[in-house]
Parts: sequence; C-alpha cells; structure tokens
Amino acid sequence: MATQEKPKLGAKTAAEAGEFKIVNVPETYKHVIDEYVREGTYVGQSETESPWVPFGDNAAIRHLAFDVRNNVYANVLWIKSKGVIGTHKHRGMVWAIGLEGTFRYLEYDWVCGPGDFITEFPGHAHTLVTDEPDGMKAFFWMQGANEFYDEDGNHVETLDVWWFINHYESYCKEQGIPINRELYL
Amino acid sequence: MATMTAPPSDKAEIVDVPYAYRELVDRTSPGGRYIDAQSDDDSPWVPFGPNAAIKHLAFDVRQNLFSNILWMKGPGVIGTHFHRGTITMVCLEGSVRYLEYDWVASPGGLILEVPGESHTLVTEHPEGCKLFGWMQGPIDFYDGDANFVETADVFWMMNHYETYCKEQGIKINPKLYV
Repeated sequence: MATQEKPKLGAKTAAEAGEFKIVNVPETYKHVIDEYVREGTYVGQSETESPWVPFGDNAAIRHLAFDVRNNVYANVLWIKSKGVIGTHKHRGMVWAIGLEGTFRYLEYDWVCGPGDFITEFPGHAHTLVTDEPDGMKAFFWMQGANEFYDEDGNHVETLDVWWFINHYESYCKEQGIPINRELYL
Repeated sequence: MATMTAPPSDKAEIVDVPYAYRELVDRTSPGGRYIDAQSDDDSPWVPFGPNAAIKHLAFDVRQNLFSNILWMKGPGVIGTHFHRGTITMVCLEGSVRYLEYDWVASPGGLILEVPGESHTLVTEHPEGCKLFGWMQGPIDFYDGDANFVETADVFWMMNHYETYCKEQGIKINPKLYV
C-alpha cells in the first residue's frame, strides 16, 4: 500500500527491506502471470553465448538483445584501435555506458570512459571516434532506426532491429555457431 | 488478499489518493492533458495532399512519438510506407484497409502495426475515413516505383503542424508538445 508519509530517517525503507531469501510476493493473478510472463534473459561473457561479429575492419559487435515489438537492440560495440564509426542519425533513443577505453563524438565536447553514462535522442546525427591506441568498448541500448551516411552526406543504409538480427544470425550460420534464443526478448 | 471485480468507488467526488511523492510529480511531470478534436480550437486540419488532412494531437521528441487524426476526404490512397516503430490506430469514421491484408477497418476497430511492416492504405468508402493514430518511430515513404522519397518522424510532424500554423496565422498550441 502506498503511504501518505515519506519514510522517516531510521524507519524501514525499500532499501533496507528484505532478507537473503526468496519471499513469496502476494499475487492475486498468479495463474495469469505464470501463463503469460516473459522470462528475463541472461547472456554470459563466453563467445558461444554471443560471438564478436565483425563490423568493418576495425570493429566488432557483441549482440545481447533483440526486441522486435519495440525495435530495440542492445549490444557491446568494440572498436579495436583508434578509429571511427561514421556519421549516423538516430530516430530513436540511445542509452550507453563506457566499458573500456574512451570514445567521443566529433559533435560534442565530452569523452565517455569506463563507467560513464550517456544518452542520445531522436533527431541527432553524430560521428563516433576513439582516440585510444587500444580502442574502446561500450554497452549500447538502442531504440528505433539508425541511419548511416557516407562522408558526402549520402544515405548508405538504415540499421534497425532486423539489421542487427541478420548481422548476428548470418555470422552464426557462417561460423556454425548455434543461435542463442536468450538474445530474443 | 483483496481482489477487485468492479471499480471500488462510485462517489462523484475527488478522493485524496495517498502518495508520498506528489510534490515531485507536480515539479517534474509534463502532466496529462486534453486536446479537443471536434473543433479546430486546439489543432487545425493541416492538408496532406489534395484529398487528405492531418489533425496533430501530440508530439514527444524523447520517444519520437506522434499522435494525430488522419482524414481521407473520399476514396483514396496513402502510398506504400515502411514502419520502424509501433503504431496503434482506431478507425473513427468511414472504413479503411491495406492492400496487403484481408481485413477492412470500421469505426471503433483497432489497427496494430509493428516494426518491419510496409503497407498501402486505401479507403473505398464514399466519405473516406478518419483514423486516430498513436505512432512511435519513423515512417519511410516510397513512390509508385519503390523509390525511397522521405522519412516522416516526430520532427516532420511538428514541421507540418508549425509551417501551416505560421502560414495561417494560427497560434502554436503548447499542449501538443508532451
């Protein structure tokens, strides 16, 4: 039940509640949840769970999630040495956390390093670069279409969840790696 | 555990719902709102080609989301277009179908479209149709020879609305911007 009062200092709060054990949460409609609920997913670090798929000569993508209902895709981008992911325009929202090395966009004044958090919004076009000799890795959660342009501003290709699924599945077929159903939300 | 089979109150009076963060909601939420569609007071009909018009209802630039009513004034076509997001539409008047599917939408019916589908909207109803839409993500429009023409997204919709308002001397309605 919601409370009228904000929790007072020293009182039990959500952060303090709970013990190191599974508590049965009261569910009025447990049978409905049991029948329809989607299981969460777990993708570990091994390449059998999801391989690094080449993305050009100097980069690779490790796919983690595809949601075809929302055109959502999540992955780790790895640029292996100083390099560029060319100018692209987002039509959806992007969330990212730096994991290794650093990267930045030519359009902005910040540099994203390990643990740093960024967002991007529909309507922005930008150019991702890493200045590091050892490149960068970052986790991205992206929604919607992502349009790639060449250096003269000509549209080359639009990436969406289907592009990312194809990128993953084509490589798995080529390499004889079984498709991991955990990636499909 | 209490279960609810019907609304638990029929008192026509505001009940103060206990919620600890009301002040935070007041300070940071854009707030719900009502946009009238019977009149042109909140939003005008903006021409969309010679036989159609759009009444814009909401723009959300955070999600690339836009809502409007599409009015086809008589039998006609909105050419083939490709969706990268999810579309929820309700047929309000007349009837409408897509060449790609086997159903015909009539008033009150729900149309659901998902990313990755392309289709061609047709109304054969003598009075055309009115369709309410709640749309997320860009829509890529193609010509009759499958050449890509333009991508419409929330910014396209805002420009469509604002350009017409400026032309006609109509004041921009801040309520449309979520």
